[in-house]
Amino acid sequence: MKKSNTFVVRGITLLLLVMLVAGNFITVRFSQSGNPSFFSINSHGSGNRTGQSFLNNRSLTGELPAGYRDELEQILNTPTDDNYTEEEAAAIRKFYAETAFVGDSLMMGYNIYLQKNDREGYFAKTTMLCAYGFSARNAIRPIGEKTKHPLYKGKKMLVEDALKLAKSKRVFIVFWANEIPGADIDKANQNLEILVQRIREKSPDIEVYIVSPCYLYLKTPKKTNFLNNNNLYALTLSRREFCKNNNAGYVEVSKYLGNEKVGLLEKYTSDYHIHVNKDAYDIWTKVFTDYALGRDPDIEVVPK
Amino acid sequence: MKIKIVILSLVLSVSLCSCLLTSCGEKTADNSGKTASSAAQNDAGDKKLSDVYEKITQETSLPEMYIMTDGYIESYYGLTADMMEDKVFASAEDAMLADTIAIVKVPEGSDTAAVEAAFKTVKEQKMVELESYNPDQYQRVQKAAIKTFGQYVCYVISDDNDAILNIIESSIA
Repeated sequence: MKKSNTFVVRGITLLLLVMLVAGNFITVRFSQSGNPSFFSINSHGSGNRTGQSFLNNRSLTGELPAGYRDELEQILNTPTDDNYTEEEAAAIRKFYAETAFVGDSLMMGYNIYLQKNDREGYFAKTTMLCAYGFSARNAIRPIGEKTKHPLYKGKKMLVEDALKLAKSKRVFIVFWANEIPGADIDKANQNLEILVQRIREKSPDIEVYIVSPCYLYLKTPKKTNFLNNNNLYALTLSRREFCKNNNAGYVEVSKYLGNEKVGLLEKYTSDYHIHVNKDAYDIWTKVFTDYALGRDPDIEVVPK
Repeated sequence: MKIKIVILSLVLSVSLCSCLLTSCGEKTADNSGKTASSAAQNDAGDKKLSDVYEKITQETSLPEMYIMTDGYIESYYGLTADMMEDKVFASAEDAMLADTIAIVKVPEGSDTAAVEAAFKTVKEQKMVELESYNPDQYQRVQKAAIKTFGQYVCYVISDDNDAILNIIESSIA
């Protein structure tokens, strides 16, 4: 009887030990492979690098030229992939609550991505002004029944009016592929300049940021004389100049997804043409959130 | 005897771990439309329309869908919380697909006209945007259904419009 009691005690102890080990194993597995919020906040304020598990899901070798690969690793690894502290997270939320994004289908896709993935609510109050096929050329046209302007609060609106209504303190403009067809790059930049002027007339204190144009998937069958990576590269260079000449900020997201030589990398394309997938938007988000904290290594111009 | 207890302990441990694994899996369900009934319920604050949506996802063929946030519904559709007693807004996760299912129950005694107008505006907006940009989806939006059943207003873009409207009508009757 005494002997069997000993066995029972040993058995229970063993069971508890096994449960403890298995429980830890499961916790580790889920913290790595689950789909947590994009970069969840560490409530203790020190980083636990959930960003690393996000990085582990993709191969960074073989496709990007070394310089780009290094920069991508730099921005995603150190020092920027520490978890955000509560204070940093609050700063990011505040930054983007006062921000509007203006853009085309790429921004429509990002809008959907954020509604699904922004579980920390960094962009929950961001104003989204986007439309399929939208461009500066469309934006400066007067509103008509058949014109492309974004819907805001259920009404088709000029960008400058919507920004004023939303009381946005800053605007991120994401125009690219639709800028080129039917207009040369100089004309595209003139259109953008008109738009920026109108925005500043209605909202004099607003900060304007231009987000870098993306590239086409290299083997896209829809390449045209206008819409190709050479022109997109030229547009990228000219947009940097535009920012310098127009006191605007330039946010670089595209170089992490490809370049004019390799095009949009296959692992980031959603349609083997011009649109991008969740992995690409993960990178956008990381760049944007770091940008809000002044951590982006590629800040060239910051509006005064 | 000792070996038997050890084996028994291991079996029990594996069973417990399986239970933990199952419950963790449920917890990590995302916001996709197919598994979004709880999200829809939370958004709507009412079980009924989320149940209707759940039935639609089970009985028709939809692409991967996501549930729109309240902020986006207000910002894009111009519909505020006080205009909706219950609601479900789902759309295709792929931005290149127009599939949308929006159902709104207006409060008792309220007019449905504002919601109908909002849906009409969004439909017209999508048509303008997509006509030259994405002709296939433009044609699908052209066939979008905006229909009112009493207090309920529906906006549906799908290849199964009729089936979806039938489910909605029979569910809320």
